[in-house]
Amino acid sequence: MNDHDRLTSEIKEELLRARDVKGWLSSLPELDTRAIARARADARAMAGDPPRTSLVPKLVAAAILACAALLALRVGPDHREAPRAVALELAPSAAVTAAAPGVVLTPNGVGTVSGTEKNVVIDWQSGELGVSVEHGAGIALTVHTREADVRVVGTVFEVDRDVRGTRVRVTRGKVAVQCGGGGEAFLVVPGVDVTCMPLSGAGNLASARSLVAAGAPADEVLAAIDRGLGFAVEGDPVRDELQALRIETLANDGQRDAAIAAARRFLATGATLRRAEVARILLRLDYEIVGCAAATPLVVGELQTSPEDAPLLRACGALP
Amino acid sequence: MSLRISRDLVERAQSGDTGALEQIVDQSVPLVLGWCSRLGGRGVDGEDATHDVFVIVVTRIEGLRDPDRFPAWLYGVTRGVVRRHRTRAWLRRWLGPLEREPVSPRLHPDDDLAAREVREHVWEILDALPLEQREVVVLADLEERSLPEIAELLGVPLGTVKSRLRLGRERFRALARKRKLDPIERHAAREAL
Repeated sequence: MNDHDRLTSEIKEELLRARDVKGWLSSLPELDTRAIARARADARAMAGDPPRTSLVPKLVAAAILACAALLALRVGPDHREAPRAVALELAPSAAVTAAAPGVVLTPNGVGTVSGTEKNVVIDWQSGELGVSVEHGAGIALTVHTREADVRVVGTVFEVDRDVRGTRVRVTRGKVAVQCGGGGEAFLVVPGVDVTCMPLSGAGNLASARSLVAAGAPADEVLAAIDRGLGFAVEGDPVRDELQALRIETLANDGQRDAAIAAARRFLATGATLRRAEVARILLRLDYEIVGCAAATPLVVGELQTSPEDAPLLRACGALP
Repeated sequence: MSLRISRDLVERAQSGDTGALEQIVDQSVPLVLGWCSRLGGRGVDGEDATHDVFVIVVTRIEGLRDPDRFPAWLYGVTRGVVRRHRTRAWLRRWLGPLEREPVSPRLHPDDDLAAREVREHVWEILDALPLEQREVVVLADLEERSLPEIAELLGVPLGTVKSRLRLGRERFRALARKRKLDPIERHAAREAL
């Protein structure tokens, strides 16, 4: 076989190989258009705004780096490359922020970022925060709120903090959530929302009010109130507010006996806030159940000066 | 599918132009998803890997020195991400299901059983190729890119691409023969049964 024949044979063989491989590869399916759409939406969410690095965070970061460098010089040479410090103030701009390589934040609220590029710590005060972390890049990221610590295990999640607590939604991967108050950490996976409740009387009061405004079932509202009562001590004005809301919720839910009992207890204490409102509820409930006879002197005394209750009080002979 | 992203678009994205970055993302996603799915092999969730690629793209595009080399840079990023995901998939296989197993997008109930079988074999063969060979086979024989284009994407000489492709095809064919993927051989094997 001469050179020409050998070359021709090699080319033929190569063409055969290519034809075979292409033929087999053609059995693979086309990309799923829904997968493309999902991936595109996911990536577009990250690219929605340019990575924002304003001058102030850069200056803060530079100052921290300078301090770190000085400290390193004092301590002595270290041949390992230390992760760079990060420091950012997050404002409700909803702009995408590259907090560190491999970390994209979408803040729509208030918080701060600190730590290093490999150990990012976010203190989130309020609002919604989208977090996207490069998988497997050795980045530890934790979001602290008053009610929860959320630690990255996977890649994409949102933390939303408002008066109702801290909600965590996972889009992709997993996160570990530890609610405050000594609860155990647990993993949250996509499709599951977790809410860490407020850890104060006022927080739970706000939570309960927002639940009422949202038309939530009475059970949920009462649960938030009871949690709040656990934080608000005797004499705390928040406690009076919580109790008044509890009575109103019970009454509106048709739990009249419980509402009446709670209202009588409330009025018998030295509570100063919401006395008139509670007395009015009690009067109305008493009147509905047994008529004027139940309009106790205590209640009448509470409402004597309220013009809006005058018709009812007058009907019961409590007013001239 | 070819990525046509101009230098101007990359430069605008680097200077913070949201629209430019979105255009780049829009154009790149199908390509990157394809690379992640085909190079990732079994156990790698292509969408997860694609997500990670774009976290890097969005956070690090500013640092790309030569905007003309965006496609090669993007491929390099994808390659790194796929490599990490494959390592994790391998670890998962040996350490047990530490995480959610990705649902294979490759199986469909309507698939013909024989076609499905062939397809699974093809995935396994691709998976068995070393990454250097797998990527040139995918780029050349599946995405039908020219060899100079592949050389540019990978940042290696043309000769290297040619030799990797030849070795990849040879190995692919050998493995396919071993699994009796050739239609005639498959028919003969069935007849023998």
